[in-house]
Amino acid sequence: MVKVEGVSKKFCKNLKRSLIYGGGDILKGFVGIEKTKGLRKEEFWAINNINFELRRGECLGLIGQNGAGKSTLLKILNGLIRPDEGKIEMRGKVGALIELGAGFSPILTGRENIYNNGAVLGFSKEEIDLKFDEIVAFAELKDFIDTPVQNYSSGMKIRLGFAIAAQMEPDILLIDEVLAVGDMGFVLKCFNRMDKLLQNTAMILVSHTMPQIARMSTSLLMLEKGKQIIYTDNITEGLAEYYNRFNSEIGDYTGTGEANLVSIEIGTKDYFFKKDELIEIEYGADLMLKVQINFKRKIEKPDLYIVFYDKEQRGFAEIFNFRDQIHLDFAEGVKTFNARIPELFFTQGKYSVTIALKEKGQTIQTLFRFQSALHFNVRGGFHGWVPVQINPTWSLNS
Amino acid sequence: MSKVQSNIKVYLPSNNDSAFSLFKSVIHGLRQGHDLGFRLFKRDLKAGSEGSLLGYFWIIFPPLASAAVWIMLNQQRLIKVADTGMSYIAFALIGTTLWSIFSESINKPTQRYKSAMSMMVKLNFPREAIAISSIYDLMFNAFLKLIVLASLLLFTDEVFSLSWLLLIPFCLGVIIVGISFGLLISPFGILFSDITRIINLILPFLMYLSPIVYAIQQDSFLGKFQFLNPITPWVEHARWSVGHLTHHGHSIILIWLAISLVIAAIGLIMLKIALPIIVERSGS
Repeated sequence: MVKVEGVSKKFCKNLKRSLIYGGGDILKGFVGIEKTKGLRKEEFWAINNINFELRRGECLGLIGQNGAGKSTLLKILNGLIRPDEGKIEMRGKVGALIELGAGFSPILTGRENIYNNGAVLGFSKEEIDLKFDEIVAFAELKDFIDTPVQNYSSGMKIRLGFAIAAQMEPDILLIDEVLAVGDMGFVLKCFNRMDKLLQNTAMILVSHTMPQIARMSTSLLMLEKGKQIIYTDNITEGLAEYYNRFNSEIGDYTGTGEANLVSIEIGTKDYFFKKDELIEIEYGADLMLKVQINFKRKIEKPDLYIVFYDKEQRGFAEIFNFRDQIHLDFAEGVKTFNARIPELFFTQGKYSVTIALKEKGQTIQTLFRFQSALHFNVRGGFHGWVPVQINPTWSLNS
Repeated sequence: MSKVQSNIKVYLPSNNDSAFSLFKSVIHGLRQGHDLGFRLFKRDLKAGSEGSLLGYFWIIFPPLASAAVWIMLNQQRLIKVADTGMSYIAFALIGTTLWSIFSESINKPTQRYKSAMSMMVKLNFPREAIAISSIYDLMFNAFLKLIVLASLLLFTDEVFSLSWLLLIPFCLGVIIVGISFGLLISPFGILFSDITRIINLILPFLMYLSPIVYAIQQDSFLGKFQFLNPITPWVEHARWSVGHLTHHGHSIILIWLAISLVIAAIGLIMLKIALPIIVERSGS
């Protein structure tokens, strides 16, 4: 359905020069002179030599940092701008969910905008008449359909935009980070709709939300500074590589100074990793934590709190039983605590640990908190969709 | 499968298409974009009148104001306009009305494409729809202006007759001439705001080179070059129809019509080539 071969696009950093080049290119295009090959002064490759293919029923997840060229690539695929090099073949009707509600007129009502926006997307009036009720129901805007769109919240506009665009039955669907706004329920609804569309569609999805990518994609393309650096069918590995490209910064330390974290070390049964060493834990191995704290004054009922975050900075597991086992009424001076977490079933990937110390005496207060105190990788084992696997004991009653 | 086959799009760096296939795709776009163009026109008309107290007044007022100035100058004998063969008030009103339609037509495509830019950087729709909406927009405004003009003419010495209805086709002619030049400059007008400024700087100058507020003597230097002025024949014919004077020089009207259609086609083809280049420079 989609075939992209060696596609490149250059942009100019300087607006005035860009406009002058543009004027020149228009004239050249009109008289039929070839455009300049290669870069002119102050130009750069916004996307550079992109190649991929996509068939019906497949979804390409397009990822990369801001400014990597994702939206530019989508614009070229959508036929809004031309490539400077290479060739693109699109077979079938192309639909694009790019900035939903582009072309909404704020003064007009939702009803009028449905017809206008539908016309822009290529529907005739009769087609919209037929689909009108469905659109309104999908957008859940029955009560507001005769209200001017300028009184809609941003979420409502997105809902209306998606509801109209979702009526398209394209062969190729381009989606650019459109579901960032919108409440949970609506996002789920959109995904269900997209699942349905995907059966008959080749889809290209741009998102910064990796679970969305993981959920929809059958292949993954990562751009960095316009270059295609990952192109794989193995989503889990591709995503892991994506995360590894971000430097794991050691995070923020905040504290009152009444107690300080001296060190936190991580290891397995018989080995603790040294500072600056790449920390890799085998899937299912025991995880050891060694925490050294200097209590500068007498701290009443100290409580240590440790949370695991995944690569998207979502906390997904916490250690809560410190005080159940370490019965300290007071702590003073340097103390070292050890924890053993048996059989860590975290899916392959990158994780960070955040640690905090609280005083739970007459007053409850946080003495320090170290966000992303250390990072570690889990290697091998199970490729899961979620960070943690649970290992129950099964039995069968017959 | 056949549906898919018929729908293959190939995007290549340069435009290797022949002028003829470009022209065909322009025609295709005009046909596809017609409904959308009409809808966009209606949308903007509705939305445009909401934020304004006086609404349509702003469409019809400017030509009346400039006619009023000249009528006053003439009546106070501050300026002596040579005999026009009809009442000067009617003469000036017809001239300024048609001129305002012309200057609006020249600017309209650029203006419409510019304001549709936010849509064009995000959505793929037949770009010719914008040209269509410009035409509807111009026809609507011209219609309003004509109604006002005709009702004012009833108070002049000119006698109403059915030949006044000829104002409509001559007015359309002015729109066609104006919009074809407007389309031709629009690729650059959208890209560089300087173009619009330059146009608005020279338009008043051009007005005095045309028989808008005074008649141009046939044997004067200016008069000899009036056949080069695309506006003159329309304005003169309009006046002859209102004043029941004899028409002459129909062929020049047809020639300008043909030239305008060719220019419009060239303009639309240039836009087809230019818009992707402009869109990539406009950001989102």
